[in-house]
Amino acid sequence: MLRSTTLALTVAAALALSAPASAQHSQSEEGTAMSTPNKSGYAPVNGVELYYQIHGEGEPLVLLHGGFGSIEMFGPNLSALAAGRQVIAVDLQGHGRTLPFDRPMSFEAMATDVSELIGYLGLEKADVMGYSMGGGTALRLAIDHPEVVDRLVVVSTVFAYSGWHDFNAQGMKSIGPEAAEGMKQTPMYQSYAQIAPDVNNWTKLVTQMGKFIGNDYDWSAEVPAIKAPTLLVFGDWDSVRTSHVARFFELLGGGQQDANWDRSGMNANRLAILPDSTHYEIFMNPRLAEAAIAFLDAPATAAR
Amino acid sequence: MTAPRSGRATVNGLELYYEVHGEGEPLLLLHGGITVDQTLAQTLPALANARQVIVPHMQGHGFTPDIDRPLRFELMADDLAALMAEMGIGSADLVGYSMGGGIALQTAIRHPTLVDRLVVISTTMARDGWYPDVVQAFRDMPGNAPAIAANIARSPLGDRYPDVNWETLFRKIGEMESEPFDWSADIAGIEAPTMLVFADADAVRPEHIVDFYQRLGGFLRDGGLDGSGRPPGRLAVIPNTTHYDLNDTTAVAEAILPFLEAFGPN
Repeated sequence: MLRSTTLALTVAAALALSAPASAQHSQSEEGTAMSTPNKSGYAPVNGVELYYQIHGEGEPLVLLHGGFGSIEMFGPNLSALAAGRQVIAVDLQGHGRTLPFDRPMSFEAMATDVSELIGYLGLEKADVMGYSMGGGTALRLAIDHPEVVDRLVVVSTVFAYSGWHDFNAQGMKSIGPEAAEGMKQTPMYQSYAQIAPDVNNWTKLVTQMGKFIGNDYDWSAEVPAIKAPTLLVFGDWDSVRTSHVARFFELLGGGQQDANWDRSGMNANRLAILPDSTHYEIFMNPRLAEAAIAFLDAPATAAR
Repeated sequence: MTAPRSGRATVNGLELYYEVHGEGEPLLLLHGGITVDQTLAQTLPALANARQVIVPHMQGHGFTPDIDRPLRFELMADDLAALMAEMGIGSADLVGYSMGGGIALQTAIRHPTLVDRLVVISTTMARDGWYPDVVQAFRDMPGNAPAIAANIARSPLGDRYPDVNWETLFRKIGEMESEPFDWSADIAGIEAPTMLVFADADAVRPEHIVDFYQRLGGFLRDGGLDGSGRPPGRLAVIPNTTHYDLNDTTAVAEAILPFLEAFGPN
């Protein structure tokens, strides 16, 4: 029991926020504080009230955080992305400023929330970028609501639960209501307590996550049908198995053949593996924003 | 950038030409097959901004004349070891692209004490790591050599390296690369901290990249919150690049330099 609680805490911390040390590292190196939103509020979508912020101007990019995280977790990467586009950052169900709702958590429901948010903001479609749990939501959005997704950036997440290393798969399965109290010692609770409308919802969030984040799923049959040009980003020491990374790219038509001198062997999808990077800092790694911006700004390539 | 120094060393019957770019701790940068400048492209100047970069022209390439000997990764690794001895370099970082990556790997396998840190760019540890079409292209090279050679001899590349026998070079590279080889059993024995760099649309199969990195101890588990799960290996896959244009931007050098620095001075 002790071991499984420790595991749950470690993984929960992992899913949520970086260790404080890496947050400081990022702050001091970039010298930029958190970007200030142009606009923020609650959107009445899909029968719930979804909190969002808009940063910057230009082509829209929806940004989705990881489990137990919030908009803030991207740190300087949010500012970097917002320098060249309109970033629509969302607090997903039960996270940050968005309430837990009386609804079981699922990738499908959160994807529909985001799809309707895009319409609510008067947009036909938007680029979508998500990390970990937010990456799963982004992926589900591209599968279930392809009409609203322009380009897709999927960061450090799996298309099937078996893609996580055993350590992470077991850790996520061991999260439950009993972990809520112990998790109050973690940086992600401290961040939650600063922004949540009612800090007492913490236990509800942990309970909802416990019923959701360790569930098996396998979208391998649906991934090949994704039409949105997609960039996959992982760390070289990710929580995702590298064999799964290779398989993921192959499902998107990558890794099938040599590109040839004239690039005729490539399709519109891309893969980045960032060196010296883990699941626990990739969301604030400056190379992530660089890779995403280069992909989002590139001219449209040949249709798949 | 200032003009590089150059020199020659007599090693293993070769008059081996080399250039020295930049200042600092020496690093040996090994070019790909057929050409020197084109295969190293932006990676050379970007590395030379931070390090002293020694670029040997391997057998039959650039300004190093060919000799009556087949091209073999093992022999070229021995040439490199002999060059380092001639230059008085006890050990150094090795960075190799494509054919040069194979030479770097063989140097780490055959002469482990010479290698501080190893960087292998867009190459395989076994012939079948290349896509089948790529292996077939290697098989076709000897037959195509006369026609290709005639074209190159009339091109700016031919003007730059007038002494290269292009037909022989194409034939020998085709023969070397289409012969089966498999060094996978030797990879786990490499003690130098090693970084692998690939393009996302590479000529190397993704499963091979996974196998390669796992043999270096990578990807077997999560890296851990504190990084304790990570042995000293690194992997970079650079998006929107191919085997042929991977070095056309500074992205490779930018990925490599923090790795070289992370493991400190010798």
